[in-house]
Amino acid sequence: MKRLVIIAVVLFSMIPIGLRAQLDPVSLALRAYQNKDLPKAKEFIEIAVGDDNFNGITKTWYFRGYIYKDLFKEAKDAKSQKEAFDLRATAIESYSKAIELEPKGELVEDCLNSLKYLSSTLYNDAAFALDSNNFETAQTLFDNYSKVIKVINPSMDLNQRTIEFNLYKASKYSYLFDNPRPEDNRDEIGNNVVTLYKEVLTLDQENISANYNLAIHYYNQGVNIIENMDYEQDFETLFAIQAQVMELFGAALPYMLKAYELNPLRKETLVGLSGIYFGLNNIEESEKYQAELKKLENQE
Amino acid sequence: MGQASMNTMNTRAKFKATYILNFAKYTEWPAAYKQGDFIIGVVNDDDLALNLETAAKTKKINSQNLVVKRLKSPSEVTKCHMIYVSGASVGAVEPYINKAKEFNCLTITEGKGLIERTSAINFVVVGAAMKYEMNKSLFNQQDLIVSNTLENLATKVIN
Repeated sequence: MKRLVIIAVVLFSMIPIGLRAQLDPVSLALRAYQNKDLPKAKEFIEIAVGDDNFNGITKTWYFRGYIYKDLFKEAKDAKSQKEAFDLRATAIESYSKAIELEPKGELVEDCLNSLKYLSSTLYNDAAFALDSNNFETAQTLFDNYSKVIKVINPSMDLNQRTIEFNLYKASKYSYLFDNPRPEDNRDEIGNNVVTLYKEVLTLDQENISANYNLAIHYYNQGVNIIENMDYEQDFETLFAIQAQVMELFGAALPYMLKAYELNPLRKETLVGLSGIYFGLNNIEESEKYQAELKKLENQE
Repeated sequence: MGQASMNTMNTRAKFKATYILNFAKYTEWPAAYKQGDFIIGVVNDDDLALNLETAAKTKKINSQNLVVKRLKSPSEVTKCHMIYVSGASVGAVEPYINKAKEFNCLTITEGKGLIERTSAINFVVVGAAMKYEMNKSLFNQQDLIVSNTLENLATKVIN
């Protein structure tokens, strides 16, 4: 706030005298902002951005960014989430526009700092949305976060963040797959888990979490089919179920083997390989990994 | 980052239990065995026994109540309709099987070479799938009538 006031005074002096004399909407917005009257500041700054005399001026967008950023801060705890998100979006749009108008201007650094703050709130809100299984909102927030990061640093590699987000999202879907709510479409959730882990592996095929978790997901899908199978299935159905389950266990195997290759001393992976081979009726291989696990445990 | 947890169910045991209940469906026992409880003995496979016990809560075999007996020694083998003996070698399973052969009991195992002269049905793995082979002469020895369906679906039949 203090920094903004200093910048505002400097910028105010740069406004053409003619415009200042008329108490232009940008100046009025700034005055309202200094008086902590954010609604009034918003009203005036909106007049400014609708006026061709002011909407081509960098500071109009810069002040708008500040006003909306503060409105967002105020709203995020007290008001509706949607309203807060909209205010943040406007703040981001305003700072981005200010940078676009004067990419090498003196306000750029300040705009970027504000965008960094806003981007961190986007990422945190995306994670919170996932915590409450609000997947669409989470994705929108993460996409917006990625866009802001590209404004802050166009050459920044977003892969690591995308991997982290997708792994977390997949783990939330995976939990829902294992513990479905009445309203859930389990097949769709299962497909989402696979898609997300595969997206992670496209970015980093050596990601041990994605390899292990995808293997477990395929394996658990197969086990789930067995669990739901009736004991009185006729042979024809039994053979069909068995084929379906073997296909899923077969799909799990290469990912679990990759996880093993990446870390042969990870106990969970050894348990996983033993279980998958057991499910595939390959008792010899199952016992081999079981023995490795015991050896590892004995060394502890 | 969340790590998925693996379902630790014994996947083979349920398939095996479902197979065994199908074997019962496609086999005919002598008249004296068609009344009272339908008894299945299980040796050295607690997960299979548990699955059969679960099935017994809701299922019947030819209108007979299903009873599962977990057997710890050959001397515990008494009159039963079926017996499954876990153990890969002839030496491990034969004491139980020989005792069971004193009754009209369908003998089931899982191990190489056991179908030749030990058990009437033996589980085998074909590809990655669990299947079974059968020894028809051992069905006949126990006065059990095997249906064509069971015979046709076996991977190997010894007459």
